[in-house]
Amino acid sequence: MIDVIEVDGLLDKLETLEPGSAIALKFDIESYFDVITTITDDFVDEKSMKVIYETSTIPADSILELLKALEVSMEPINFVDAVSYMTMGVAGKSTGVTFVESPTMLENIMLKIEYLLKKHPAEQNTVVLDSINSLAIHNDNKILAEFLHILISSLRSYDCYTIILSVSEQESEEIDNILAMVCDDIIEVSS
Amino acid sequence: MAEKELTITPDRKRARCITGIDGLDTILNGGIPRGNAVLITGSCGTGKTTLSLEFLVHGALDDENCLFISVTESSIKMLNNVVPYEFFDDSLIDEGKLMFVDMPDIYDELDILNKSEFSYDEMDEIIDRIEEYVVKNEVKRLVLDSVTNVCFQLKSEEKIRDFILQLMKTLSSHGCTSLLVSEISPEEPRYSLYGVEEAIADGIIMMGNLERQGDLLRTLQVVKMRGTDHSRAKYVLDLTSVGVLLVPLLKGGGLEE
Repeated sequence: MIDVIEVDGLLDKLETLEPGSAIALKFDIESYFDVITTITDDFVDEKSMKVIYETSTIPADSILELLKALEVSMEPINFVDAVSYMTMGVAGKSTGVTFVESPTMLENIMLKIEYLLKKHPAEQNTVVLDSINSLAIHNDNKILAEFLHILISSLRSYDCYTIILSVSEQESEEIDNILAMVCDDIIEVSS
Repeated sequence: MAEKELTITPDRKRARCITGIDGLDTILNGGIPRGNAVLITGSCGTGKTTLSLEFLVHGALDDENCLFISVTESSIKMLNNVVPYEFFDDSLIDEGKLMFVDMPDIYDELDILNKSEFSYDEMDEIIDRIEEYVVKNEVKRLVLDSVTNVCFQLKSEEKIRDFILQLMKTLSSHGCTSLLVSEISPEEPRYSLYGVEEAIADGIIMMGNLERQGDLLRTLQVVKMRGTDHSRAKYVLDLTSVGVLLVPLLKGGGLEE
């Protein structure tokens, strides 16, 4: 079942989640920044937790600049950037960014998330995957489903929240099936 | 028929040497059975030395005396090249918990440094010298990096077999769990250069590079481990400052090795 909520109601919905939950957030591309700000700022602040933000969509540096402009505190956020190497755009200037050579190296994405969980232990963590659509561009659906199944199972053992972003304009039936299989809840965020 | 008393130690009761590498201890169902001599085999750049050193550091942190015998490069150079562990403490070396010996120094003491081939007697002397270190320092974990390089000077298959067999027996008899690093070329369809090491060792941990669609992944697979049930699946590893991390190799895509 898919819950449909307004962007303004996203924080309230996230607050009802149990630790260890895995959810998918489906939204229009124009709500992208509202959604990631709600997760990385309001939700994190509310729960005093840390965030591991995996991006295979746009380079971590770009997200960092945006969040800084929105005056979001960067202290609790660490990035796993799986896109910059591939686009030959690794600057390596920003702190708090760990790189994976390619979004096809799904095991290495898992390893970097585990590394950050061990390096920056926190009582509560949220892992954001941005996004399933960009991971699906580079990976076969079967290996992607296997990756999400193993990753989410592992994150549950850490009591981590897992939030998988899915951009409505880039969805497919196969992606919907994968999300339905691995997530506890699918939330459609309307703008 | 009278019942005979068996001396087989059930898997669950065999004492374990906890490697301290979380994923590996899980794969091994709790750690390496104590006293086992394990071949860590793989081509260059696969993480053999780093994994072996971490095994010793965790042992030293757990108050066990640990010895690293370096054959190919000096210990100082080796230490400078490995990933700086966040859990590493210099006092482990100062307090003698973590010891390093360069094999060329042993050769020099035995006056065989420049010999191209070792005799049986000289081979025995090398093992005696290693045993002296183990006994004198009550060493519980030992790494020989690499056994392949020692074997270069033994030449014949019989001598290599004798050397490895004697060394393993000696270490085991003192309750010392050992990792013997074995170097193979990436194309070798075997676990050791001479083919004899793998048959004698109590365990084989195979480390490799797996190429998948142009990506190069570091892998680890426990092929054999006497005295315990274990996973035989292939895992992907990362060498990090918090130690060696392992995750299962994903099988969904087409694999090319």
